[in-house]
Amino acid sequence: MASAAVMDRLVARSLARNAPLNVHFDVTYRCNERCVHCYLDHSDHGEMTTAEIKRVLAELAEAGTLFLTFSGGEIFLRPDFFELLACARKLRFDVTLKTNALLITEERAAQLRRLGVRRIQISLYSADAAIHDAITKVPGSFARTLEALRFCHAQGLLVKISCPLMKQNIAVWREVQALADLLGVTFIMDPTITPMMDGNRSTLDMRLAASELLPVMQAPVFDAPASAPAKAEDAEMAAAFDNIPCSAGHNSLYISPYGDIYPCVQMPLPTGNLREKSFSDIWFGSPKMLRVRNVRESDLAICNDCDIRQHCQRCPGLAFMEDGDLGGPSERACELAEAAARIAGVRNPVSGLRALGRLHTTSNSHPAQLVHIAALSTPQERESL
Amino acid sequence: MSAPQPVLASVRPVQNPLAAWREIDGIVVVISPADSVLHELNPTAGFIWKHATGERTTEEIARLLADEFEVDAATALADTRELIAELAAKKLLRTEAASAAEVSRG
Repeated sequence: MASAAVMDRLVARSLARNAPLNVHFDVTYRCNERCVHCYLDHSDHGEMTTAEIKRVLAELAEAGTLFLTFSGGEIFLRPDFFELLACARKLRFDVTLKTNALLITEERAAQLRRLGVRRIQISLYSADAAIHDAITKVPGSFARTLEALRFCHAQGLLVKISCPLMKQNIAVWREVQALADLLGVTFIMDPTITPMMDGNRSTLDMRLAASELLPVMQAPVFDAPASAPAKAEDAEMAAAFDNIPCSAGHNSLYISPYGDIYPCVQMPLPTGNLREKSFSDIWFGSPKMLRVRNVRESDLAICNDCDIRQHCQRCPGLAFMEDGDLGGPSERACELAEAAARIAGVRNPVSGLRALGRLHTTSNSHPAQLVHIAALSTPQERESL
Repeated sequence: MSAPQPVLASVRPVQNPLAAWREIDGIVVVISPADSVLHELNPTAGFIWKHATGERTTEEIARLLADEFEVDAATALADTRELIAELAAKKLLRTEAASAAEVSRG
């Protein structure tokens, strides 16, 4: 039976029952890199203990979580991390790790394999050591990360290189992809740069403008599902997601090192704390979680009136992060939608926010870049990307 | 490729500890550690999977299956032997023979 079809049905069932199928669990915010674009406060303000995390894992297993991602901060900075991993695997989670890999030795890679970790996502910002190390602010980090990546790959772990995109490395992402190809691992880019947790917006200086990002986002690496589901499953998935903005708070959630539950790592709306309440009490009973779960696409008044909505990929979390409105539009999404619409041939596209006079960037402020986008959007150019 | 031979009734199936799995809304899904394929088990297969803990023989699981799903014992045993062989071929289960003493006890 096709795995994609099985996955579609699984997602549909979990959405229908609000089973927390996917959990992103940051076990620490501490880190041994100081990446220029990072939004985290790396101080430890009282991380959950080993026992507390084990209790939470047991609750998640009971509630139906299958896909568990351990992330941070740098996960291997926790001295108990392998103990937590062993616990998670004993509870039969499908475990993915997100790491900078600086602390992964050959023996540790073998240990990950023995424990049944299936996937590991490693951050790599450039194929050029100087660029990578300048972003992480750790001299030698490129070489150490690459060595660890090879250890993991040699053990048979499914390795994915994650390349967050920003002004510092936009010109070199193709080299990272080529390196991934050379190593025989998969590759993904992530253009999301957010303000810091304390509200400091300096990280946004590194964020790419829509006009810079669009040619990259047309690359096949951005839209490469393993295989298309059969039509019946398409219909099932469409029905499952009918009128739901995204899976956040429906079948997926985020847990912070301090036990706070959020609908998504990109939605800064704490809905309850696992030191005070059980997982089920928060997941099924928190008024804030229920508020998120009750939002429907049809509630998005401005977006519903938008002429270019079919070109929009609004992220509810990022929209909420901008102005605290769960049902509002997103300035970033409006910018990207206008650029995407322009590439698709729409003349003078006007997003919902611009129609209201609330989009402050000019739609055509970089004509040279827009010409560049148009050129890159030819089928031949797309093929070459 | 031909179907795997059904296992003996005395075999004790044990889930591969490297496999990830969960039951959601009555349906068991299992991720194969060998090839990352996601398998969906129907309610009967899911019932057998959940009892494949190494504590019961195939025959004992088949008896539980017959009671739970109200099928005759012979059909339940044949289905259980076949499914366990199939899951073992996919490396989702290990099959461990019962001890000689247990086999002789029937």
